[in-house]
Amino acid sequence: VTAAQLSGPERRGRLAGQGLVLQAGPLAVRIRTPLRSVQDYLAGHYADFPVADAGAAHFAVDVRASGRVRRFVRPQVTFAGDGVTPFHPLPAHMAAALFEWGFNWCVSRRVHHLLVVHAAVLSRNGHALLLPAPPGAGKSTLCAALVSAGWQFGSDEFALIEPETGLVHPLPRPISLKDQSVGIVSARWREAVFGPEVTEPTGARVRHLRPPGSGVAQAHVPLEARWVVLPAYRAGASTALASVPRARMLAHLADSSYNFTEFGARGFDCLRAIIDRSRCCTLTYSDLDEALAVCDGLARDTAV
Amino acid sequence: LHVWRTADPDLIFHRWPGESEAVAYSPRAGSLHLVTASAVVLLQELSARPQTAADIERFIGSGLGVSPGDVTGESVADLLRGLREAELVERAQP
Repeated sequence: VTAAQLSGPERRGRLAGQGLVLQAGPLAVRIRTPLRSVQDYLAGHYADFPVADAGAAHFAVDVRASGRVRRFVRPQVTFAGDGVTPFHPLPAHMAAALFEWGFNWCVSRRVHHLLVVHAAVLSRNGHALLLPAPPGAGKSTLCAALVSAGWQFGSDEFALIEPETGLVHPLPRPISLKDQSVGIVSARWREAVFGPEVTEPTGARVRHLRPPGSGVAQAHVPLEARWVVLPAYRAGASTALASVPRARMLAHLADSSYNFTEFGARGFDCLRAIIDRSRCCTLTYSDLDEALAVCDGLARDTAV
Repeated sequence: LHVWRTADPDLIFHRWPGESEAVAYSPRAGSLHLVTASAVVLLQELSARPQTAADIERFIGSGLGVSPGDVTGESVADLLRGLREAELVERAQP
């Protein structure tokens, strides 16, 4: 049963009551919110996610109105992850975005059985392309464009890696796009469905793109990493794919992990094995079509 | 005179063929460091036997094939400072 297959009253009742547990890739999350704006957002952006058993949740997220007076005067909302409130309250119109940011916080802090690396994940023929990149590198824009061009969507934000096998689990949650990226992606992806626009404290305008149903449907299938690419969008730059020394890429992956130190030598061996079997590159680009062509070329060329 | 040793006696090194850099993983700290191939040789030496800065200066001049004129006390001090800041080496207890 998916979230969309529950009746509206049933879904809203669970969200407002004991919680609706959704399966997001290898993670089950209990979501509680009495807020209609978040309930409606979940009904759309998480429609294809399977409903999981109540006892299966890895963590619980809670988004609700804060304070009594605040409900009437400039209403605000708060987020809690497993009872912890890591963020200041935000204006009520940012509730859905706060849910996503809080979900990210939970994945980065509450997942201890999988290596969590900050990277987008896409796949072709069961093989994963990892895009680890700092904010501003164009990771999410490239990720959405690759999906629009036929790549299977795995994740916009996190690569969840089994330490024993090195397999990468998809976590196909909504893609966070900023500023001009929304227009760029919607021009390529006519069926794209976006959530409400909010302005981050940094000033960036953000909208969340609903993940494609095909990616959600395949979220239970782990992937073998074959390509690790550092994307770097630079205005006016020529498209260039350059090899990166494996030692350097391994150090970058470890730096991009939220919990690498928790796994000891297992984590080191796991990431080293991924680097061993992957082609490691930087992709500098300004022309998105050329960047897509380069990624398609990588997928055709299976040589490591 | 300070005697230097690796902060973790069980450092794990990995270097891919043809690459000038390697990684050093510390099981004790759970940390991974990108290091030069020369640093690997030096760390392996310090792991086997704690040494003074003067010993290290001599080792770099001989073991790493660096021209003795290019190895100064100052450059060794800089090297040790960097490795210490990365928590790869420490002063051994007297």
